[in-house]
Amino acid sequence: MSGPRAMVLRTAGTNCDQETSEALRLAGAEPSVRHINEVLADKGLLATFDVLVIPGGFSYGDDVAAGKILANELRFKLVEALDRFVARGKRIIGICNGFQVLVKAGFLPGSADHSQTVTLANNDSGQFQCHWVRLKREKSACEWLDDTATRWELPIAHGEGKFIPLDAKTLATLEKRRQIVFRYSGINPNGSIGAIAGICNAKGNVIGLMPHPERHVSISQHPEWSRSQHKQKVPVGLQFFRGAVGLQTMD
Amino acid sequence: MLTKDSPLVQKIAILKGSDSQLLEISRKGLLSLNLQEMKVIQAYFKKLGREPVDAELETLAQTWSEHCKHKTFGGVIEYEEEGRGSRVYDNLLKSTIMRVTEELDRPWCWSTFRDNAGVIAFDEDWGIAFKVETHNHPSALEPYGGAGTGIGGVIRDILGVGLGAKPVLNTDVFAFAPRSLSPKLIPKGVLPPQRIINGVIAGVRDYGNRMGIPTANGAVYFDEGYVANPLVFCGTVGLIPKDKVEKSVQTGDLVVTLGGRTGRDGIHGATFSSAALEEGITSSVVQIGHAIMEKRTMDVLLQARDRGLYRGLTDCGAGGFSSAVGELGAETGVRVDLEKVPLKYHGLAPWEIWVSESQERMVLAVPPANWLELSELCGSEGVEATIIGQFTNDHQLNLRYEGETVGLLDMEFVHEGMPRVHRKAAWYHPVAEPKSAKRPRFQQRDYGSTLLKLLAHPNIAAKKWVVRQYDHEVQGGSVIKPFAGFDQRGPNDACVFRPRLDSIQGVVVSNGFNPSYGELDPYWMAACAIDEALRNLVAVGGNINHAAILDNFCWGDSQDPRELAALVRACQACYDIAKGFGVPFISGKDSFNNTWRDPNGKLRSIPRSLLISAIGVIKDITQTVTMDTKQPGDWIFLIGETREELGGSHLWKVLDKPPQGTVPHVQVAKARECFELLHQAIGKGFVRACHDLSEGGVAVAAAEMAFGGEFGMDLDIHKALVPHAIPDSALLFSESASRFLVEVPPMARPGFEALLKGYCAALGRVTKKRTLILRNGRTRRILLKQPLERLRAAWETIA
Amino acid sequence: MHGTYIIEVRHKAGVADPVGRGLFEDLRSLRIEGLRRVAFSQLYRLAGDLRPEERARIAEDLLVDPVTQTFQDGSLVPQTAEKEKTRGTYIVDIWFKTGVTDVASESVIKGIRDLDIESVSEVRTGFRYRFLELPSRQTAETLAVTVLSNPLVHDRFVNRELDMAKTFARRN
Repeated sequence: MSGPRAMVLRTAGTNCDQETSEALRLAGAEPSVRHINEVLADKGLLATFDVLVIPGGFSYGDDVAAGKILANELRFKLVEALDRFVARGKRIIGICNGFQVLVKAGFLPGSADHSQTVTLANNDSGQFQCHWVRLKREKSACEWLDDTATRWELPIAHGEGKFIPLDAKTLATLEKRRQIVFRYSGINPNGSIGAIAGICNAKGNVIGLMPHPERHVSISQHPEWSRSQHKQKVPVGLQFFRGAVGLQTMD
Repeated sequence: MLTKDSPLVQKIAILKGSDSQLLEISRKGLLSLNLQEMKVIQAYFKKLGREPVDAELETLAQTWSEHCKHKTFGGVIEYEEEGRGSRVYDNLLKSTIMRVTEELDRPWCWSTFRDNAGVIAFDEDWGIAFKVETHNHPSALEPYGGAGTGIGGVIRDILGVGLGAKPVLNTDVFAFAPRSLSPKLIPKGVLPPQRIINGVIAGVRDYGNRMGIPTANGAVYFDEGYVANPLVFCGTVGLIPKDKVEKSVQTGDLVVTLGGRTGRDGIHGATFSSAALEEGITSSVVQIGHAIMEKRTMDVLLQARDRGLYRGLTDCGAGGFSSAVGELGAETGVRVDLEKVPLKYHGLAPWEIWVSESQERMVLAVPPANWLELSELCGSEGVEATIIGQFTNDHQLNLRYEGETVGLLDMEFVHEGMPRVHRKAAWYHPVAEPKSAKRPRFQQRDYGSTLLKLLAHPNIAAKKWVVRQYDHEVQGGSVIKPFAGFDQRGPNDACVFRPRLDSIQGVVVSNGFNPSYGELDPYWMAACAIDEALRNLVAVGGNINHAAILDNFCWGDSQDPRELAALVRACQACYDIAKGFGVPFISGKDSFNNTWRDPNGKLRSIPRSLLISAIGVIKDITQTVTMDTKQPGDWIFLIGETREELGGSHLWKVLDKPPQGTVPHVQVAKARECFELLHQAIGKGFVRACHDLSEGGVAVAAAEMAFGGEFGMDLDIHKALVPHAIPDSALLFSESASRFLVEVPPMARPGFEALLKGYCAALGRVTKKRTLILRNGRTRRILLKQPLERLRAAWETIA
Repeated sequence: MHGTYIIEVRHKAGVADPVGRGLFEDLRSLRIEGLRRVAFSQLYRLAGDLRPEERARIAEDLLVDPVTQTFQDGSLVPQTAEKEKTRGTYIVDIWFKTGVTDVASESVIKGIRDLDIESVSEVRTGFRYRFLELPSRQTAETLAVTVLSNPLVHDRFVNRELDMAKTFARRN
């Protein structure tokens, strides 16, 4: 078996790399966890992969701001390789801390000069929050998600997840270009503007989201798996990764 | 060497010291060595014909501290009990707690009481390591830093067990004074409860979350007795390959330090943690943890382990290098060149480098041939690794600084030379047996409001405000979470998780902690803590035949014969009950002299506190259950006998009355059989929900199950098994041990009843109506009828 | 020009400040006269040969979130000594004591080096709480000790906002 090659990027403080790898493996990809120092030392390495996943965690302790220091490494030391990767239509997926990194490195929502036009600020509660949330998947530029469920349930675990666009125009552009992929439904856990939980670039091949799809790839991860109504479905996290690696999404 | 004067070392003149001078030296040097110990040290150096130097005395003080050596537990205790004569315990730990392990001799216990943590088998190739530590005194002074370094320390214990285990779960149990405590009751110099609570919770949160280890089990307990001395128990579970459980340091191996740099942090932490809290502690004992440093260290360490780059490993905890290197080199001897240790800043004396407790450091024994590879691996991820010495074959501890000897001790004296303490313990029965006149008096209409008060009591109420701040999902293995239901509707009894995502096997972790029984009877307190931990484990689907427990004692003044007698009784119960259940202890820790001065200047001991943490292996995680009601029409069974055991119960707390009556007893032979049968019933699929009965008894458990699943219940509590007739108040609120409420589908009822014959009674059914009804079937009266919304609102009160 | 510089990172006007608001809510029960708002900002103390444009780059490219934050590049402010019973805006700065681990400082140094600025020798991080307003310096001192810091690990500096403005005026 040789599925798409997926790089799971890790650095000091990354901590969701193992389960993200497992999720990719379940989805049919061939995951490989690589340290940022290795990727910086060998600039050709990235191009040998089909998918790049920046997983959750606290890169560099989230010192200064969540994801900021890793974002700067990407922005100042790896930008050409990443731009080529995106231009070829390969997918970049940022989950939680990875989303924060992509936003602060200017890959999301995405602009030629990598300027930052949206952010993920402190939750309105002022605290780290870990619990499950309900999401609505929008019909977005991420067409590879079109076959997945529209109602999602995933856990969040973050202190800085409040989505804020620079201005109303930025938000309007996101809406117009179908770059909003996920919105919180019911409870908006962090006060995100527009209840936005995940966005993509205009082409739909770079995506970031605060909730953790890799934490819902098997049935027993769901808080109500032992209640009968949850027994049969394909977990939405697995649908997400199957879509991301370009394989079928529904069972 | 060492006889000449040197600017590097300071000699301490003890050879001619009188008793009082020896004590003064110990006191002034913050050594916490007692007279007997100082005299043994004096005799040792007399034999050598020279005075000791600073690093040597410090080494002995660290190694012989209560923190590192179980002085009280390992000593000789003369125990006397009123009316029952006396008994000598020669090493209390070995003759009670460790004896259970020895006598049970379980083949799946791979490592017990000899390493950083206990290790049991997970499957044929993998083991599960578990350790729980306390970090009380630093958390009282600087809650955020103290608690953070507490969790950091126990994670390093797991990283340092055998040749290293991967941390897969954290568990935290905290005991605080309530936020509502009157400022008049807070002694001078003590932080108010609010700051301690917030600081401790944030400290553990920021460290644990950054490490990427799920925190999915724990408890927060409130009692005024913890005002100046909060308890911060931090536990970590690790996953370790079977062939990495043993260390084998060899002569010629390099001593390598890995991770953080050494500063003046935490000097005298080990000796300080055994000394009672007093005002005027210097700031060097408090530290701020650096989680990402530890995470980076862990990342390279586990890779180095899998490549087989080292033969021995331990963490730097209390006592710093002096304990870590001293322990690794105990069998061989070791030479350390202290000037090679990477420092945070200049100006540390050799002895300070040696005993510094800077965080995030590990010590490895590395064969010289592997050094280059290890060094490159560490370099590639920006982790500092440095050779600081070599293991020898001379059985000596040889400390040098730029070639000059700054300390030289025989390993045997360091590890075996400590004189044993002799202490007296005396027990007098504290309270008379309950009289019926002491029963709580109830108007019938009060039952409902009492239940609401119980649900809102800080010890019972939902701790979502804490739990939600901890990442309990990271690593993706979560099966049974802290709360049942999507919206965290009810409290699960234990956590279950998969440490290996490619396996359907799970690990269950639970705990038992009930200090409120300890004042009345420490024997039954300990018994109930064990029962509670195992009950919680069984309630979610665990099997007591593949389970182990840990003991963590936090006790008061060990010189006080009464407190010490209470300890002896608790230990005796640990033997009797654990043996009765057939569940071995695999590790433990004790913290003594948790004393403080109240605002009137009186020396007080904390409530007698024993945390029992249980861990077990579950063969198939699909055979686990949560506590929430799931289907209207299902039967609700009460398992176990209900007796009038309200001593130390939470009923008295919410009625604002002093605790009185009989503390719950454990009938261990029956309990064991019952736990085994219930486990079988869960395995056969007879059980849709199960919840253990603890604080607040049947009433609280039924309410939690009902609002947890958003289905009501209609139960006749007079159907309960009772050996003697007891009043309604006891049926509702007694905290009798070894009991569960179980939801059984009608189809499974015959099978369930046949299996648990003699242990179970059907009380009623799950209802579609969202109301909890508890009746007295004899009088046909409704004792209590409450809508679930109201019950849940009470439970969600933020204390 | 070797020096020590303090960069304050504040929220832009109108952006939510959960830390400041949370503290304000916690202080409500104390019924402090005149207190309308608490604002939180992060402080960075940089030591090294840093030209103003380098400091600006560090702030803009590393320390500040362009969507929600702005910064002020100031110098070290000495603590005013005079006793004051004046009502006004008070500022409490909290820093870790020398020798106490300042976890974030290492990352900030790395972040600065990633900008190809090598001349930073030391970084310390701190917190600033701006109280609008307090009845006296004494109230600010009390809050600093009882709520915001632990003397075992923190240094604290209390100033009136006016002092800062004056100091800047004098220096510039």
